[in-house]
Amino acid sequence: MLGTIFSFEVRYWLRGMMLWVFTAIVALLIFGAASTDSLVVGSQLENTHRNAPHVIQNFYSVTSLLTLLMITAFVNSAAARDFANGTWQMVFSTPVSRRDFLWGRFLGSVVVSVIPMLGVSAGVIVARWMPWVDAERWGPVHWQAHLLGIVDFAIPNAVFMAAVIFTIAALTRSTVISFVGSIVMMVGYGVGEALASDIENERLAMLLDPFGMRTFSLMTKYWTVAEKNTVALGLEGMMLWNRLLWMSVGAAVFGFCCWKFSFAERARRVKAGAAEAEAAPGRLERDSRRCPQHGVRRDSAGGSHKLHSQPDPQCETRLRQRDFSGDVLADGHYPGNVLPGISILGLPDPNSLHQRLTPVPDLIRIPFPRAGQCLRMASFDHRTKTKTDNMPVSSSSFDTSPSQPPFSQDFHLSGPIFTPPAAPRSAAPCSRTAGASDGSQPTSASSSGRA
Amino acid sequence: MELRIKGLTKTYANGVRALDSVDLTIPRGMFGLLGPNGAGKSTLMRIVATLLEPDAGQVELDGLDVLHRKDEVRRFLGYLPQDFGVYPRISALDMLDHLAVLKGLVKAGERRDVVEAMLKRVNLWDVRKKPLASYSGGMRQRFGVAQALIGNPKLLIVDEPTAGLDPGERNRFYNLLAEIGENVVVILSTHIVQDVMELCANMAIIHQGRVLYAGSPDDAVAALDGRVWQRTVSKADLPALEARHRVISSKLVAGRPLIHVLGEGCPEEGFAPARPDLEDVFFARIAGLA
Repeated sequence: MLGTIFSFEVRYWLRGMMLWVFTAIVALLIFGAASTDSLVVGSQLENTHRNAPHVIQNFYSVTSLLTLLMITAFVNSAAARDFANGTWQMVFSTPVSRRDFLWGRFLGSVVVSVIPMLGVSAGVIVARWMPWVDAERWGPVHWQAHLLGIVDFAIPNAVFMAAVIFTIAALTRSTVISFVGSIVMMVGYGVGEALASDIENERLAMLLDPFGMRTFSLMTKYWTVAEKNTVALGLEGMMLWNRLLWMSVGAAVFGFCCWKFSFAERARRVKAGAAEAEAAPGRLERDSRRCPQHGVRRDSAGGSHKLHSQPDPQCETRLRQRDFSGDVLADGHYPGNVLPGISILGLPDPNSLHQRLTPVPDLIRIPFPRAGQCLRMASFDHRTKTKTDNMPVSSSSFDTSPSQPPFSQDFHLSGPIFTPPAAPRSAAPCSRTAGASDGSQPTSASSSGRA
Repeated sequence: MELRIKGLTKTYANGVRALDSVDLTIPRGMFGLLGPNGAGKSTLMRIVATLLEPDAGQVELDGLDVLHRKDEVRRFLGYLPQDFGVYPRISALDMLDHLAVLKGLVKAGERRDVVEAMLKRVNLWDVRKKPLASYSGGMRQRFGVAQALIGNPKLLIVDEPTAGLDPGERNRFYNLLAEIGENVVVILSTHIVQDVMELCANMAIIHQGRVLYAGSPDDAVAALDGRVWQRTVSKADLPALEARHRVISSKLVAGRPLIHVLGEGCPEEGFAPARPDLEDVFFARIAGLA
């Protein structure tokens, strides 16, 4: 039973367009980031191979958060499809057990959620063969890094995010609330990053990142270029503990969902009241054949006698059971909504100064000016600390190719003057960064942030 | 095989008392639940279909406590909700297959046969690969019947099944129900009197959460024998007549109101005796006349 529900869930998405569109988006982003310098996902590539294991794993760690809104689409649907589409009465009157139903849907949506992240591997592998890339900066395909990227980041992060979103959607029976929940999770992550950057205890900081990004950057911060080119970080040490911790949190959240979820109807339905109001006498309609007292009417064609004209059941269903705001987020219409959302993700990445994930950064900040500000500050702060720590040991990270301005030094210099995240927002770091990184292409972070 | 309902009461959060101490005994065969919109029919059916918790009362099927042993009940339950949706971009075949899985038909081969037979039975085989969302109201309703019938239910609950069906489709639906209604308990709710007349050996009239009549349609009609009078009147006279007499119903025949009046003798000049039918019973009961 569980297996067939699971496979139905997976096949449902494999057959649809959305999954492949999302996968293609991720693959294209990573393809662009790996093959050119004009698109940055996560952090600017250093002087490692462009497909170094470290780079691949870093892409995987960033992509988890990048796909959060995509995952929300799959998981929302898996958890609340029957409420959104008005099939819950049919489904919940079957003898399927809650356990099979929830686990089948959940595991199916987790597997589907991992698929777009695999676009990372596709993007990196394909980028190698583009005519414009510099072959000297490409190493052989490091399969282990791809695999470990999936094991370290894609799967655990998908489980964690899916557990949270699934639980919200299944318990509230609303795709809107869980969508908001996923945005809160994203913003909350950025804020959390800002707070965590103050933590002196590195082990604690490594443990507390639910997506493992900080864990990864801290664990590899003393790695040499040679190491970054050849070694992939396995599920070991603090990474293992971090993953175990957050998988457990996900499991606990999902366990709560299993405990609370009920097939029974909610008390909030007011159908009887609405119907009764309609049946009240004295309500005149255009139909002159109706009797005012009892609402009798003669259907001359069919010869049947009814109380009231028959409402269109489909229309009624829509009105009563669907919330139309949910429609916007529902299956078919999702990509159009999620695309601007994805661009928000240019902000909360902790490793990067160049937050130019999409060519239209101004689109991003309109809906979330405050959050954006906050997140960007968090990013700078974190990066600075890491770099400052980094400096004495890993001098190699300052060797930059002529095509790339040595902006890392600038980080270092600007590091000490950075204010803590709670301080009033200052445009200084932004403008400095913009100028330092690439004079001809300002990041526009500071200007739009103030707008 | 008998369904017993005792003292079933349900008040919604907004204060509407949908069911008020309902007692019913429903034997094998087709049972019609007749009532106007908002009478509490759907509430009653959703409770029996294990989807809604009542405030008080008991439901038993051959000694099985329906309200507390839901999982067992669901194993032999077929339920056609009053209004239901479908998943987007999915075909009837896939959706029915999925629902068959949920109903416990786990073996793929067996399930394929059952689904195929059911789609043929409801005459959807030719369109099985079309998306359900593109179905017409009648086709969608037939799909609803198919999913309710899958797994050979012993308790079949169909809520307003003929809503939105054209006369031809309604007849086909009647035949389908009559076929299976011989061996299982079928509860059919409707506000269309004709449904009950054609299908049901037993019925109940329910209004404002109370059972006004329970028994066979024939008995109910017989009780009105010789007490229903009819007359064609003008629209202007209608209010005066309604004030003077116990008017059961008035409907237009060729543009003029034909009223049915309840009375032990001829109410007044111009009235002629009418042969009572179930519709008279229905309206007389609801208006509190009989």
